[in-house]
Amino acid sequence: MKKLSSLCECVLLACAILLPSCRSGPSAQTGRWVAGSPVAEVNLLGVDLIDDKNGWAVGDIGVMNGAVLRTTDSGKTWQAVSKTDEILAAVKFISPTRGWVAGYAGRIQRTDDGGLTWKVQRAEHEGEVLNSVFFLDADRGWAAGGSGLLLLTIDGGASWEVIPTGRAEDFWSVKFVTRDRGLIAGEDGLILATVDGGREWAAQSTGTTRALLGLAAGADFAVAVGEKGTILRSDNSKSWSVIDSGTDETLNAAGLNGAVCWAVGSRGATVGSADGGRTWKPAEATLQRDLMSVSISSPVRGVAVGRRGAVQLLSPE
Amino acid sequence: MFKSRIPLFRIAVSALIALALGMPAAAHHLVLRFNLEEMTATADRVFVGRCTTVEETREMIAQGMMAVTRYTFEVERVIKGRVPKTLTFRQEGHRARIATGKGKEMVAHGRVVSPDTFHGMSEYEVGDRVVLFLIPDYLGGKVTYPVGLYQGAFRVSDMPSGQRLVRNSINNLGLFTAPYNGWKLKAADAHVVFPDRDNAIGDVSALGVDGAALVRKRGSLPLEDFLKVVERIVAAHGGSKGALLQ
Repeated sequence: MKKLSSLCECVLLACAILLPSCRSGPSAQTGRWVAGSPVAEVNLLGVDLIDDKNGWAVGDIGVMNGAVLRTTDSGKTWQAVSKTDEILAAVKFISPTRGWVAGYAGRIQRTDDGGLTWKVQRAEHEGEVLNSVFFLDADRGWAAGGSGLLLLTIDGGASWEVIPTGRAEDFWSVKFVTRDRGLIAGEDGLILATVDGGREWAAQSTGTTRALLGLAAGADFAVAVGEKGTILRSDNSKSWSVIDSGTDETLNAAGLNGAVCWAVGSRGATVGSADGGRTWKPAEATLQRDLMSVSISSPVRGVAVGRRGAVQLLSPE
Repeated sequence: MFKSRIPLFRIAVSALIALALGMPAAAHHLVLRFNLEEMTATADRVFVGRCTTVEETREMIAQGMMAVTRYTFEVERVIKGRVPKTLTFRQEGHRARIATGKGKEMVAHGRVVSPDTFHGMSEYEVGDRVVLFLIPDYLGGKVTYPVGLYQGAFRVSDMPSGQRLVRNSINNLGLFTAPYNGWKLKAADAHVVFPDRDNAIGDVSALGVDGAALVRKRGSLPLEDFLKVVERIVAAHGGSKGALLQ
């Protein structure tokens, strides 16, 4: 009888441990996604949080102009802090005051006052599309875009050097984990890796021709996400494994904090991992609008934005 | 006498076109946005072709000498309209040089502005393969341009895998999500693209196209799927199949 009781205790204990992980989403420790208030009817294409409270979002322009939006309350409310007449696809801040935006005119701008004013660092290049901008620190940054366009700065954006890549694919995301080690994800299943700060790039074998639209890179691993729920994962940036995402929706973006990763995409698709991208589970859908960008500031805080001003918030349970 | 009238005439024509397109001169992205169905309906010729020659010249158009750029394309496939195998058309203005940042250049959006340039007009280089949605010729049938300026010009890219992709210079933004603006079509006239619906495209599975995947893909789209949808739009509005004239 005592043995039976012990067995029951073990079963109950196992259930207590396992049940939370059976719920939608990676685990209870990673927070829960909730629908935020839509910002406007305009499509949002990029978002960046620098901590649990402060972040910026950018996107398409309306009939007259568009705006750079700022939040100081984890994405619950957003304020237009400056106007823009350009479609902005990417935003990256390294401090509460300093950040960069890039968009569909090849132009790069920097702010030193939290987004109130912007200085053009790279003039518009008609026909050039920039999809991603990334800075590791105040000096070193990269911007990537259409038809293999890659730019590098080592002086905070004061000057941008075009790095010849010889690629025809559109680049969707560029990320660096150190000054030397970086990755690019793009069309046609492309992943490029560099170990010299972005001057030389080597194409990695991915085994897919589906577009890879989002990239998240940490010290120990990286994930690339894309069309039809594609997720690729690597421990060394060289060999990439296909991971079951649990969705067929197109995944447009990925973000991570420590071992917690999230990817978002079409029709509000949101999938997460709590084990460094090894296993993924869909989260409960909170909205039907396409999500285009995600930023994760801590394991329980993040923001995703998308079409028609869609905002989705990761909050502690 | 003509000389003194030319700049004023050109500015007036450009301003009229700009106004018609809802394009404030200072911001080339602030153009009336077209979804794919309204873009197709607005164009009288839709074709795939490769640019073979580019010539900047001046021609007598509407009682004035006007700077124009003559583009010649070897047309490979016609989706809408009747298009000769070798098509030459003119666009207003010469191509704008990229600003050097040196000297006294008047610059807008990274390009040098002059009375001969037309800001925002799509440009092509010899060798470019593009899908063009051209509006009916205007100014006495002498000039044309792609619908929505740069929106109706889609570059074709060959991927290493063999895929052929197309996108315009705003990453195909709004092709399935921009609302009808009534320029040529109203939402009530839509047959294929429905920006307000959850699924913004009608049933195109009979074409062998995954419509849901197409409308949700950012940026470049597969050329063949893209053209099939445009053909479907043309047919849905009672248009006949495009003809390549030998």
